[in-house]
Amino acid sequence: METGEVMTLNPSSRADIEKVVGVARDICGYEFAVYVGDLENGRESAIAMHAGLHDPDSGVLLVIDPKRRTMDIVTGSRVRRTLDDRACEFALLSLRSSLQADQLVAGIRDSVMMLAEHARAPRTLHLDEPA
Amino acid sequence: MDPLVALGLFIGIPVGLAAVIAIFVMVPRGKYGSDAAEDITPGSALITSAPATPNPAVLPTTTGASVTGGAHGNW
Repeated sequence: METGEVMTLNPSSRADIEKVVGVARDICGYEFAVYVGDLENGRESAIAMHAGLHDPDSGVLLVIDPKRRTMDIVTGSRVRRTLDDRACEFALLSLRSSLQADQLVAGIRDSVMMLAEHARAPRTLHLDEPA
Repeated sequence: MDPLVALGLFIGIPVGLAAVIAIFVMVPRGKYGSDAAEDITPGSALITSAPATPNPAVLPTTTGASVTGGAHGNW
């Protein structure tokens, strides 16, 4: 695959991803962010970018570096209570298969929705269902 | 009213309206999918959602440093 040519976002792709992160935020209440681009220091750069979110403790960042062919998911400390690292690895597995098929937006959509479904807090009796 | 003026208005008003409508119809409004070559956004893109919903049930963190989690992979 010729990276750099396929892994760019046109406005319609951006709109799709904006819609996906909005839906994911509505599902679980956490802030979602997707970054597609160059990461100089790999995961350290991703963590630094995650720290720049509105509320890093309640934020989930999905990073794709097409040049280095790496992908990262960074979750905040509050998100980790419901979205563990194993679920993030599952999402990356799904994303990897999509990226290998040159389906960037579909891979982002599927992985972000998977993360949101996992991050949704379990329903609590008497709190989520008042009498 | 002068019959000549009335005839001018009778013909001029519909013709003028038709011209205005034709201009609105002919002016292009937006691009279509075949122009994808111009739509490519160079460089990187960070797309974020709205900030997280405040959850009053969540206890505040006692430790100062926030511990991040997640996963890393290649393809």
